Amino acid sequence: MNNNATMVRTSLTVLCAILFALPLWWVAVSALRPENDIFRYLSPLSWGTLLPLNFTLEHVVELWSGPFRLAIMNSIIVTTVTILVGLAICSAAAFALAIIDFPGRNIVFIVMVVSFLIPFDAIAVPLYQTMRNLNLQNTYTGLVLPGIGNGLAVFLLRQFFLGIPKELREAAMIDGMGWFGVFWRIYLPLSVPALISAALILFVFQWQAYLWPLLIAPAPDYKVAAVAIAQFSTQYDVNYALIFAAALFISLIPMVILTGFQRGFSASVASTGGKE
Amino acid sequence: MYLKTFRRSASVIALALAMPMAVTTTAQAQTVVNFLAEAADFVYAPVIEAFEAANPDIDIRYQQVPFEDLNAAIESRVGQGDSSIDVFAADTPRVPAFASRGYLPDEEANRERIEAAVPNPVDQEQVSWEGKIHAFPMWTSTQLLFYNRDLLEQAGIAEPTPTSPDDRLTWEELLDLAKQAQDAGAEWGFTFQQVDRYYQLQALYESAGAGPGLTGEGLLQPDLTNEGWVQTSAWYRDLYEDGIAPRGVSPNQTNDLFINGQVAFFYGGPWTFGRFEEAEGLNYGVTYVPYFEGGEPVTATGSWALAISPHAANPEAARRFVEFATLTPEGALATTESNPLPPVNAEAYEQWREKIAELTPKVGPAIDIITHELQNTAVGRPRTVGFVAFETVMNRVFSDLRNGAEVEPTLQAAEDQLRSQLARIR
Repeated sequence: MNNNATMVRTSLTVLCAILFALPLWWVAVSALRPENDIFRYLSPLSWGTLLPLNFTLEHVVELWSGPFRLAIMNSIIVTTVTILVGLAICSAAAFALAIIDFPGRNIVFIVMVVSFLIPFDAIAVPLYQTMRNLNLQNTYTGLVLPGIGNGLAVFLLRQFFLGIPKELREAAMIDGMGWFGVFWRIYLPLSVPALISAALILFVFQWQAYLWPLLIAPAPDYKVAAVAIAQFSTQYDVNYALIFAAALFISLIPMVILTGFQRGFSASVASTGGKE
Repeated sequence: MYLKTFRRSASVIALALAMPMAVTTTAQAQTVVNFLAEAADFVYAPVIEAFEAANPDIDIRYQQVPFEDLNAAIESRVGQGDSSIDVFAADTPRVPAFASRGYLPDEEANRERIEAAVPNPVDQEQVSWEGKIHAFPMWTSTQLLFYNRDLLEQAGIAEPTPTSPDDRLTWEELLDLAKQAQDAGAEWGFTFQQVDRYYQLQALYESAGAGPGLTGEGLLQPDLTNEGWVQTSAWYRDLYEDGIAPRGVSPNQTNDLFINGQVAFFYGGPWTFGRFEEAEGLNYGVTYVPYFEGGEPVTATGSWALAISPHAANPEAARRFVEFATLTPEGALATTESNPLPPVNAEAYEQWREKIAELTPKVGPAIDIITHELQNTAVGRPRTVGFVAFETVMNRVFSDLRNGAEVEPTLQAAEDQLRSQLARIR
């Protein structure tokens, strides 16, 4: 009975996994077949729908020999800098809001919580004007800045910091440690899972950003991958082969990161709910 | 381990952030003209190269924005007074809205030169608003009926060889042939290339004498429930209801249907020649597009113009580039080197037609059809500041009809919605 139940559960799990993987598989296969074959086997469904019967690497080669290579490098640079600077700023802000008692602390916290409820698209145009006044168009700085102060990341880290026993902080301060020492040597080392979660939030925001890079950095040297993919579609023609090839690579990077950090992420999710 | 990585990496942040500032402060000896448009880089590369060779003191920097986002980019950048855009591509139906909002300068001073280079009044109208010219016309578009010779032969249908524009098929005749082709094995009888898009479907209503769907002062009153609109919409709906044309296919997928031999007749434009010519084994011909019996032949037209931003940082250099690309034959021809659309510059068109004439032995007299339609049957989209709102609603209406929605309630709902939306614009 138990064996049967396990088999059913396993079968259902595998079936679900296949159903989720199918669209991505079709994208991967479409990137590896001639352009004219992409929609040829959609109806009726056949082996050709899910297997590249006329295998070709033509689109992958074309993709990497064009401007997409620079665009994905730009995305990696912008995302990496956003994560590093963003973690520094968000964790410091969260530490101040969680540990340091100062007048108006709760009001500042509420403003930050509300800030992540406002859709970014709503503030993109006025923010663009500000950045333009600062002469930050077509710069990495302009691309990175809106991503580093993330209200959700601050919220997450603050909640985690609140769960760290205050006795640790008090003991350190009695021994002569200052606020920065407490933050750097006690709170950050104890908060690695939460930092990973915050980093993933910052990563996703920047990796999938489209409207902001389109506005602030349309010059070819600063184009990011999401914008570069959209440009394979023009008014009269859509180059699905290149779109699928690019989508494959742009998905691989988050996939590798999420797989690599999944333990840290799971630990974070589990421990943010606990009191100890 | 993660924390150590974080700490080490923090030291490179300052350097990473400082780098772009160094790049952007590089000394520039040339005047820079920033050019914003929707086409792929390679489309404008020949004209930019030719212009820079003749004007070494000017550096044209091309910024491509996806087609769907170009108007938003123009509104947010040019509309906000951003001087970092000197030149931009303007979709001609949007000229009235852009001009009325101050995004396009008055180019009346150049009227004589524009009219000399671009003598077709339809093309001049495409860049005008309230009697004034606001941009430089660059390209135009027209329509052809493509047919798959193999599918026609399989059905025993004689090729609709174009002998004269007066002998063109009626829609009634075409759909009979399309059904015959389907009976003989073709998956689909017919499809529009730009399904559900007002751009291509406006001609149906104009051909039936139903009008463009807008009326009144400034074309700001919807007129969708007249008899002609109801009948033509029912015809469009039945095309899909009867299974002659496919549902569930987007405009971007229709080329592939024709290339893969799945459709017998295809209503497209010169922009499709590129992919059709690359497709191995595709045996096709072209003829004049059909019209409704008792009505007039009408073809969709309009394309892109070049405009100088009223806030351009370098307006004089921008003007030199725009005039080169539109008013000189060599510049206008260079804009079509990697682009499938005809130039509106008359001298450049004569040279462009030689290139398209090379297709004649294979597909039929495409260039004669294009020339005839541009000069005799072309009707532009309505010149109104409300066009964007109108087009958005209409594209949805066509999509609903294709999916089987009832004609009269659909048109009535659209008319009510547009009456309210256009009243606000008025």
